[in-house]
Amino acid sequence: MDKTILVVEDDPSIIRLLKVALKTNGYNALVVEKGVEGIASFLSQKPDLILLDLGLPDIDGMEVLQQVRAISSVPIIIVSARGRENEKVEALDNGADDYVTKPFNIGELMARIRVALRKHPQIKNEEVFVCKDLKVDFEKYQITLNGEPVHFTPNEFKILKLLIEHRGKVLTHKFIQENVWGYQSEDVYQSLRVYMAALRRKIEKDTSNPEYIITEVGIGYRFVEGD
Amino acid sequence: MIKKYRNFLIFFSVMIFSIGLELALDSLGVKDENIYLVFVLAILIINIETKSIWYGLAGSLVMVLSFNYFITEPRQSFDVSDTNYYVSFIMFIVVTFMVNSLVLQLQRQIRKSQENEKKINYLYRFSNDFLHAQSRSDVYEKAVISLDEYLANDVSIVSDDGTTYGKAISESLDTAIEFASRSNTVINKANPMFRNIEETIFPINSQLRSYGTIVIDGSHELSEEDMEFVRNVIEEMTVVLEKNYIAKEQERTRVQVENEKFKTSLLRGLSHDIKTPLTMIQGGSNFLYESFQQLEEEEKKGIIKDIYDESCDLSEFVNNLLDMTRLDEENVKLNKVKEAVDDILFEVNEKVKKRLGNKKLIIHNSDEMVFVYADVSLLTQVFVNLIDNAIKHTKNNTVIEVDYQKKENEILFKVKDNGGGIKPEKIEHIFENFYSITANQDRKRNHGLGLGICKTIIEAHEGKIWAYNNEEGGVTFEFTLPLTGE
Repeated sequence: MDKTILVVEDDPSIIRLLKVALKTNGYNALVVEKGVEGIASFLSQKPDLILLDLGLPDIDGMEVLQQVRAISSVPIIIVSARGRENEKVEALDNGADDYVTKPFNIGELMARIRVALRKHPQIKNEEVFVCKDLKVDFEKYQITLNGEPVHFTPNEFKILKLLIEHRGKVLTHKFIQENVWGYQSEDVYQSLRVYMAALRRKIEKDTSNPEYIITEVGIGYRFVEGD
Repeated sequence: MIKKYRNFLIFFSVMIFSIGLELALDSLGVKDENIYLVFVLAILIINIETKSIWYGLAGSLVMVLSFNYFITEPRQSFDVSDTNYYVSFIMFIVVTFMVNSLVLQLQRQIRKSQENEKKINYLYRFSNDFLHAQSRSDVYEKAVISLDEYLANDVSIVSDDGTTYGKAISESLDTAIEFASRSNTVINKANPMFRNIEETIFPINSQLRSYGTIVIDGSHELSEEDMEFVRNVIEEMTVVLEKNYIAKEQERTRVQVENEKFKTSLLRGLSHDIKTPLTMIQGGSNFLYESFQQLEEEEKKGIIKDIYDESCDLSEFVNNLLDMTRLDEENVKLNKVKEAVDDILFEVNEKVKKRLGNKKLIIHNSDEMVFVYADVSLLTQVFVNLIDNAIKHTKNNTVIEVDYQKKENEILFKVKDNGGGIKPEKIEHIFENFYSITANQDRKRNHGLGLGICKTIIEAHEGKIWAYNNEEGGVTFEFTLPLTGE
């Protein structure tokens, strides 16, 4: 059965575009224009994913996010206007799975939807993760690139593991700090930047055109969706 | 007490001395007329020294009696049969009155001119102070200090914007202050509406407007001179304040006119920059819609691609506009964070990738980790604009290189292309907003704003930006950002 996607959006031309795009990609699109209707439709229709615009005519999209998140772990992708990085970070920290910025690229949006719908099983310790030339062996605690061993620090490994576990999804600085260091602070934030840069230099051939770890400037990092 | 005692001593000694002199002169056989002159002299001295009409009169009486007693026949007795003595007695009294009133008048005048001098000195100093006053608040502060110095009372001034200078004022005076200012009258307890106030309130009003009020506390009664003095100070104050006000008004109007002009040219530029890509999007999509059947697959794809490219351009332009409005607001609040330059350049690469076409972008990352403290989305926009500029203004197969170096206390960024360069006479104008509009009406679209925004952004970060033509061809844009202490 086709998956149902609830679109909470009030702009008619974007609604039209999304409807066509979702249908073409084999999803059922369920569109509502107001936040309150969004919550109601979520409760009655049980969609598989919610595409949520933050700028709604009635209530703040952030409110919808919190209400839905309080009772469900349904994937939620935020659609926001440009230049409101704080809003994106807030949404992600409030449990949103991902975000896209207007004007968005449909291809990219569909990719994000695919990632959000796919739940990654927790990587077990004996597992080996392979993506292009990168191989991470969680059991042996080894990273190799093109068969060559890569030297790394424990924190670098922790960060990489976290990113791979959530691959395809953007992880906020806060999320990474809390999961690797256990708390967040300005100092930890600085170290995170340094660790990330170091990690990049070790695994990326061209750091300004990375293959594995993508920076979402001002927000966090995303490990590319491998397949 | 001391003064009275002093007056009495003067009176007594003058009397003894002149009676002594009278007897001495008489024994030497000096004529009566000359002895009278001694009396007149004595009375003059008493009048001038004691300044009291009573001592004068007493002196006259003593003199006449002593003359009668010692000098006239029969001696050592009061015989007042001769009318001459009555006449001289009356004359003495008249002289006493006249001299006394003259002396008092003179003294009053001296005192007044001394006071005037003090007042004039004060006023002169004030107007001098006011002339050198740097600002409105300076004028108020100086007035408070001056009035405090001159009057024995505490003085406060409430300016027209509600600021209080000098001692704090109780809220109960608010209505009285308001009333004084509105009605342009001096308010004190003589006013039936404000019987219970101790203070005297002077409005600082010119014909044009009100500049506040002066509040003088009731610890000492204000004399007429004091009131006059306060009025003079107010006059001086209004002259300076009014000058200040008018200058500010003129400046405001000037800025307003300037802003209007800028807005008009901005809007003209904006509509031009928006219309150009919009024309293609509108025309292209409409054509596609109307002639969908007749068009070849490739033609359709071509038009759709153009529509997409144009809309990307438009989108980038709107981004610039958003940045500009953000930067335009007063007290730009940069959302500064410490960010790795690598990361920023990655983002830049992502953004411009699609527009590169057959041009090439090479980013040279330094081996050392370089952090920059900046508003990341704005800094990204600077790179995007500089690279876009190179994309738009060069022919095919251009190579654009981005490079950076950490210097002692700044980071130097370079965006270099190997295109055709910029005409030397234009290079200094390229950072002006909409320069390309005035320079070339037939220009390519949407580059009137980009470089101007780069300059604004870099300068908001306390950096510098400049451009020069390379010797081997093409242009290099360079900008610096300060390194913050880590």
